[in-house]
Amino acid sequence: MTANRATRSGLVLRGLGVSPGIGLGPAVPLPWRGRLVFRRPLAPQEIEAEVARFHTAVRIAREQLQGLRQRMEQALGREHAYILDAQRLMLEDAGILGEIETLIRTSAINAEWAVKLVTDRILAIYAEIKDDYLRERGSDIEDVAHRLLTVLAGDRASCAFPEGAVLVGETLPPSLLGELDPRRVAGLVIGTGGWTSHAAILARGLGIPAVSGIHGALAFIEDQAPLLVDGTQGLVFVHPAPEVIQRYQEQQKERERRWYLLRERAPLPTMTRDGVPITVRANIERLSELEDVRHFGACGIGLLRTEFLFLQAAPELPSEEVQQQAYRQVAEAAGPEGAVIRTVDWDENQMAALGSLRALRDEHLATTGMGDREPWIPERNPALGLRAIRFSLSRPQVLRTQLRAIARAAAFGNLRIVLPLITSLEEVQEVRRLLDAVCQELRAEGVEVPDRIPLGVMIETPAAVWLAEELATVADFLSLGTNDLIQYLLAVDRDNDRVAPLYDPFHPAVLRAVNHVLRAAERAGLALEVCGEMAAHPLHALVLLGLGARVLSMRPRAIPLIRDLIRHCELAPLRDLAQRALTASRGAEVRHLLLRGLEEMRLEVFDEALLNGSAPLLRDA
Amino acid sequence: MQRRTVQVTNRLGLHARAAAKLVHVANRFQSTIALTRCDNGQTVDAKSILGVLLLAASAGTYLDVIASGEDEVEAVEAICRVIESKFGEEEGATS
Repeated sequence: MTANRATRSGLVLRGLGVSPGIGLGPAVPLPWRGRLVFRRPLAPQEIEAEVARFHTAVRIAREQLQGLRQRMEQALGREHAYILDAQRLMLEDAGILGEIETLIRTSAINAEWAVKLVTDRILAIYAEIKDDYLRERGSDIEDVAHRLLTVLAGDRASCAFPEGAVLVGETLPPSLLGELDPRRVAGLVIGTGGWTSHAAILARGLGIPAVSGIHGALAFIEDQAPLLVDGTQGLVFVHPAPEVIQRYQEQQKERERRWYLLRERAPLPTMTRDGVPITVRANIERLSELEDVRHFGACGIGLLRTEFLFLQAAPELPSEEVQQQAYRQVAEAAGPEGAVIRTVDWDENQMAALGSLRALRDEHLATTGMGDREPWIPERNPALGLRAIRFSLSRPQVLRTQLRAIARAAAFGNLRIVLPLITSLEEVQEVRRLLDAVCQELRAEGVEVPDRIPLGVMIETPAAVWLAEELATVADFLSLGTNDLIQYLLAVDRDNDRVAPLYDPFHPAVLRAVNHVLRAAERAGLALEVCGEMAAHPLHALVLLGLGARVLSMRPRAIPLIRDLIRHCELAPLRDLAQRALTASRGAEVRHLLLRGLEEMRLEVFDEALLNGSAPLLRDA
Repeated sequence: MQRRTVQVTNRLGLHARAAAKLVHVANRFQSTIALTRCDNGQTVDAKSILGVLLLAASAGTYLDVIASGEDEVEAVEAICRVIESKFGEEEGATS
């Protein structure tokens, strides 16, 4: 939050617009994991009411678990839903419930404190268990205790948000994202997290307006306060005045009208005014976005993020069958241009947050016969740790399952595989060997598998930039992942809003790296696709085109705007502009150069996007 | 009273899912059912998920299943069967 000022009607909070659009609705706090519990002594006449309150909370928690279980069962099948049974049984366990009730009565204390005392005692016993595997089961108790405390505090469960609510919270954990129903959420206000945090990417994918970087959001916004979220400019109006609402509603109407016009022209081929064809693909991270791919006229899928499968399966791992069905759906929906599937891009910290670490260890134990004996310690620097391809290669069984599923689905369409966070040739070759083995194995099982499934490399580390030419010899295609590349080039944690302003796609180092990779791909005669937020931003996209990119992949909703932009620009002057940008020594210079160049080119079609800025760097420009 | 000794043979022991299955089965019977670890004598109620979990019976542990009540014969039989069948989870554990 950079500034806040009281207005006649209330407060305007300024943060980082991380998902464009306008959302209006009552504030609803997100459940918070680290709950504080206080001890409150009871008067004798209060005890019965407290016991009753406790039993009501148990009943509600049980109903919530039942509902969650049904949803999991529908989505994933019976076997996976079984894990919640242990938690539900705990809420039916006469031993635990009786102990808590007795404690409320004999010690005359509030239910929260009694729940805490009893669960702490149980957790202490758990900590003594010798078997690593069984000891970790203590987290089920923690989960149940947290649920009970949440209900006791009178908070809504995440699955029971009122329709049209604006969710407000310090962070939005991935485990919670899985529970959200996008159609019911009007907007998001998040305390921490940048433009490319998982919450922001997901919000954009779902079309939910979101503002991040409002530290201590809950301190400024009371429960149920009417909020207007402007995810384009990064503003949150608390108790907005009627004229503010009216102004925004008019803007919204105008935007929808333009949107409609842009979409009308969708089926036309995407060519620059001087006749150069540009391929525009979609990045997706949920199967529900497949409809958008068709709707916005994407030319295939340039990036399928597969983390959602792990999110949905948590705390188990997604089975080969579940993955195969998902990839098959993607293959069939993608059309002749096909889809690029990225192997899972997660680190162990994130897997732990999902509760999937245990399943990961089980799988390892079941396949290798070796348990991880040492306790798991969170990584201090996950961005530089065991993530993405390193994670996959360290858990070959997980990677094998994913490759098998993709290979099986490849019979139903044109599928390619891309590997995230590659820093060496060996990593690519190792996956290639594994992929070949998997394909052979499947053929031996009588499964139809294409002769060759193209294997690509994400260029998203400085190492990969400088090795691009060599990587091109072991890969079938290159994919430029600008989000991570910028993060690693500029040493900026993109999810840390304190340094988010340093995350600048116009930084000369970024442009020169992109240029280097494009030239390397050209020399190797390989296709290079640019996916990442840069491709979805009008100004950045123009620079990419000027530097020579011919395939851009972006979130589906950004496609109409970018396509319209491509149709209105000429490539020759853009090339000149890009060449001049490469000699600039500051990001501000590049931006200035570009804005002036566009004026000369009389590119007016996307003025609105330029003025409002759909990326943070434009806000303060 | 009925009593039988059974060995936990599934690889992961009495973990949450297995324990939940065992408690489900136990709850079908009228009889009181106790589980005792043969190595240390720790005894728990087979109808309490927490009890079963805190038993921390890993693979290889021997358990005494003790039931008393009208349906004690069937109860011991059913509990032993679910443990011996490795809670139906061993095959297809990896995919």
